[in-house]
Amino acid sequence: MTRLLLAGVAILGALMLQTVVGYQLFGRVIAMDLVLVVVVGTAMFFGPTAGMVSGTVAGLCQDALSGGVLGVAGLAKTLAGFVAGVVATQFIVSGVIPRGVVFFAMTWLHGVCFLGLYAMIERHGIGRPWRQLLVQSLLNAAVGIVATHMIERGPEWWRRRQYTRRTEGRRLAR
Amino acid sequence: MLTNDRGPVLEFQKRTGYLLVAALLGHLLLISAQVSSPQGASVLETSIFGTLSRVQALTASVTQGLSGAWGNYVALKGHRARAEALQLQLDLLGVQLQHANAQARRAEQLEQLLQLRQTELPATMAARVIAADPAAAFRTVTIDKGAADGVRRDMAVLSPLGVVGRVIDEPASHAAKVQLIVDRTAGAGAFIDRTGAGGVVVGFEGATPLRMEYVSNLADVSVGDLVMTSGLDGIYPRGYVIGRIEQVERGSGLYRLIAIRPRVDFSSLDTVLLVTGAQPARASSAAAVPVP
Repeated sequence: MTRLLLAGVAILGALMLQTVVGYQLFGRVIAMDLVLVVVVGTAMFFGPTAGMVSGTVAGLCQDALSGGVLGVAGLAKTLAGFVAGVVATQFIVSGVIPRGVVFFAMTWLHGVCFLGLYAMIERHGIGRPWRQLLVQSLLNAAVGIVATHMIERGPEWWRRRQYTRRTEGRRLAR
Repeated sequence: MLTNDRGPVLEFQKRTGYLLVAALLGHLLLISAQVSSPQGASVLETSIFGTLSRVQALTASVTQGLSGAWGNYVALKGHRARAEALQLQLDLLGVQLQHANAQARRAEQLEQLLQLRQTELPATMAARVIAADPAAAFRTVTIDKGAADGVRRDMAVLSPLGVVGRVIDEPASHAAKVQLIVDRTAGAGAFIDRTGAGGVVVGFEGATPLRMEYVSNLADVSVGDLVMTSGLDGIYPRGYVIGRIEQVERGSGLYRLIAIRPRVDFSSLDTVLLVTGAQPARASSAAAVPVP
């Protein structure tokens, strides 16, 4: 239940950052896909089922807010979440490079799936924005590495900081 | 059966596999429903959009509040609110000016026709842009006015500088999606102001985000010509600025290749105007316009 709540809050936060904060502060859509980063991160921490469910929910929300067909980003993110979860259970992806590779590869999987579906649905499709996809996958990998690192190391760092402060306080009191 | 300390491995994998297949099939059915019928998933989409747009509006007000805190309360106490009111007034005047210009041009063109129908400035409603599209492939924005405020599908959206786009999908109660005219699936009936040559302006993925199609190779078109809405699409009122022609080439077929730079800066949209009492020119009356 806590996992579900955490994933839900993270997805909502990513959606708001992507659509509102990015637009209000920078005046344009930010190049990375923060929602996909959350889905892949969820899959890496909690496994393929969590990745798949979070991918479905996040993708459908993204579709509903966007001008596209409902279900396309949902399907692409479901697949990306599932594959990321399977990869995370089969291989050790705790290092910076393997983790970056997973985020990078999942962005490409999502992008190819998304573009492919639109190529089938629409007469002209979206085209082949490979350069944008490359930039997005690099940015997603960078953000994903930093975010997962902070989630893993953040609580420990905070505890250590609190402990050091308390120790320092006691020493000064003496 | 293979097991580990967390339970049967194969059983878990099988269940996850079934879930994946069900999820993928569900998505495919959802997509198919919309592709075969434009009304396909409107209820589901509108419900999700309605709920999330509330959160977007809340986030937008918090973001705007935070980003505007300095300007409102520290550096320019009180001045910002006045400037916003003046900006809104200026926006309305800008639209009125555009309309007046359009009327004057029409009057020049149609002075010989005594049956010229009097048109009034369409009623507009101001709305604030609260969010952009989460997918970079689409050019839509979310506004803070919806069905409860009288917003309907296909309403034209303008700004003081020119045409912004139109409302797409069913609006939620207090939010609506606006497809920008630079979206690759957007289009508008248009004509070149100087010569009256008509065509269709469509969104395009490229350096110049608009193209004008179906303009004959024989038509007189120059770089810098102003492109306006023709009103023939039944969505945009006639005579509003779309942009200026930036590039013209002779096409290999019957039509010219025309690239247009839009007048509106779509990266800094803040307030837009919805045409609530739309009076687009009817095909019959517009057809009477003499094309030089």
